[in-house]
Amino acid sequence: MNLPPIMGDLVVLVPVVTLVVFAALTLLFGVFTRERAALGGLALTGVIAALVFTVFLWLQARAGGVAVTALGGAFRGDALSYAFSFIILIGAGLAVVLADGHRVRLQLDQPEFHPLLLLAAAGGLVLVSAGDLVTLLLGLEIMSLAVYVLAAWRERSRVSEEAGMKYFLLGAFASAVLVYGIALTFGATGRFDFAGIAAAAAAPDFAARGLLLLGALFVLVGLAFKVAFAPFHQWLPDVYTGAPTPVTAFMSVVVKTAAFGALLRTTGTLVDALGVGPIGEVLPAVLAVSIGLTMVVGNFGALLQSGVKRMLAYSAVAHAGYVGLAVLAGGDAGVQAASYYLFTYTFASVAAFAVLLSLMDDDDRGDRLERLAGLGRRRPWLAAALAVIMLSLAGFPPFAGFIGKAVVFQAAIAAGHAALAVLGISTAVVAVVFYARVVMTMYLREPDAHTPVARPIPRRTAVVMAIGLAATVVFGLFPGLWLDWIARAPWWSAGF
Amino acid sequence: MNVPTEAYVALSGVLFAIGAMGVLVRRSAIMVFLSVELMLNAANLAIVAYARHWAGFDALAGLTGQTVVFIVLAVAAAEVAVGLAILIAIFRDRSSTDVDALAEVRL
Amino acid sequence: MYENLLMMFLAAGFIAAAALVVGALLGPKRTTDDLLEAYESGIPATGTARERFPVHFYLVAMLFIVFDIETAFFFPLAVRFGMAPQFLFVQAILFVAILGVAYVYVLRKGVLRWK
Repeated sequence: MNLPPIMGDLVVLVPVVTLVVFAALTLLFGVFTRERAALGGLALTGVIAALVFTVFLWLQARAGGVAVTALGGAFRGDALSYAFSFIILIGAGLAVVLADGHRVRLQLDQPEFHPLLLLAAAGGLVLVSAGDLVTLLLGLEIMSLAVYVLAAWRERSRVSEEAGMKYFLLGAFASAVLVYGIALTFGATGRFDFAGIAAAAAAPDFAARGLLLLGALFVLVGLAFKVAFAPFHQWLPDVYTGAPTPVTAFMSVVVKTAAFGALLRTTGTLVDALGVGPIGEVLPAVLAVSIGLTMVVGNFGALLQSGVKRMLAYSAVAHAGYVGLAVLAGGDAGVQAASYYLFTYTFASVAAFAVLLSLMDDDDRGDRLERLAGLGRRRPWLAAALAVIMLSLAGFPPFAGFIGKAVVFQAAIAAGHAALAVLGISTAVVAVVFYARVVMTMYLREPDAHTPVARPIPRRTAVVMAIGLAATVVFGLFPGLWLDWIARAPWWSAGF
Repeated sequence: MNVPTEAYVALSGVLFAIGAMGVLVRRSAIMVFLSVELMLNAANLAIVAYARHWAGFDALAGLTGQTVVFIVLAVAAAEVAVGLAILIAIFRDRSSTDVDALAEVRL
Repeated sequence: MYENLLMMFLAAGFIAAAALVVGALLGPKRTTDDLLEAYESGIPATGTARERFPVHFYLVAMLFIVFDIETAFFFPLAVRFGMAPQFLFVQAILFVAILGVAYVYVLRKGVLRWK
């Protein structure tokens, strides 16, 4: 019996290990001292260290031109994993700073909060770097278990508890479906690793194509829950609304990016493995229907909301639909488009929640649109920031959201999904209505006696907003900064 | 006696379906948990059955499959711990584990 | 070839005996009515079984489940240990160290302190 070389290039594990070590340090520091103010800084140090290691490994891999693997191929360092790890760590860093600015008010300074954030980010890194379905499951669980707790964070808050419980029950159900899909895929191919699945399916005497399709569908459903593709999106608005706002920001960037990284790799492998012919067409067709539904449900759902946080939650569903177009397109173009979309969405989304945080009540509730009335005159800078982000999310040039939609639609059309791209463009027009409503309320509507005054912004929150705004503008004006960087990697491959 | 792999997989499919039905129809969060556990264990049964099947062709596949079952078991245990913790927090607040009562956040 | 088995039995016997001896030497010595009850540890066997249990039981039970399952990973490790002994040894140490962090946290939080 031959065993694969077990260790491989262990250096690709360094970013994940860094996050886990800092999670342990933060946890122990938190329980052994009363020093609550330092926890955020310690966590941020961990995220930045992991980011530095990721960039270093990424540059090294580009110079070497090959993907590296560790632990017998279970963990991969390739363009997909580095690009998505980079986005995840940026999102995590911004969310940590955002939480730190409001930690006392929102009770985010318990010693467990930051370790859970770090572990969730570590799980995200494992998820996008997984070379087999079992590692993927582990990454998904590490991330999800931490986020279930974070969503239920606020003590004695019924909405927060409810958010945690709903997320947990549906998430656990989705995981079970995913595990069953993994079991069936193993049954069909005898392998768990993506390379092995592809090789087994490519063999001329491969007979279990039907079983593989069933397994692939189950795996797809499990991941669709996490990225919130319709009809598996119902948990998202409730959970986003109920979770503490910094956690919502974290989920909207880290969890989403990680889940999409895994989805890109998995669908890329499974669609190829199933090949052409009637059985091979089922998976893309199911995906296409789901993505079309996601764009419609997300945008029209957002249109009906009167709360800004809930509107952003529904719009997160809609954005998942747009990234889904890139997943469906597949290949290098699809992965690149998805990475640009998620990269710029990370900045815009965190900045939007940062503005929202300074408008909501002390108990993190109260997000009605009317609260924004007159903000344009009362707090011109805050209003301008929110306006730019709303316009970017709506897809107005010259902001990054416009380029993001453009590359995604382009990838979809190039891959032969023109009808779906047209549906995407039409729903994006609907999206303009609810984003513009926010801008118009700020600038055109007069505040009345009940309109609360926005609280002063903590300096750290202002930093998050400034970074988010700057990136939205800069990457909108110069999209090549990311797109060329990504495309120049000659070793780009979604699969393995 | 040699039970064919299909028999195990069929049983696991039935268990999975029972678990999925349980998630959809039971109202107590604890029963929903138990149903999810049933689904995970159905998957485990399928994995060990397939592991035995593939071990005939590739010994490593058999070992891998058996090890994966450990990982799934650990995942299930961790899920239960987190789920029960959230459930306790909810129960302390409202003395009920009825999932339909979780309707604070309106659509 | 049965020496290993013998060693294992001896080690198991030693651990069991050591646990009893250490418990007898170090444990508090009290004899109360409770200790003579049929259900010595736990709640008195009176009243309805539908009674609410202190939440502490659940906490300890959950910790037990998690730590218990984690040790199961040593089985596959033991089976394939000869494959790469140094690497797997380091891996096992790291695994225990991570569990150790969780254990220190649990201790520090006072979850195992029975009030």
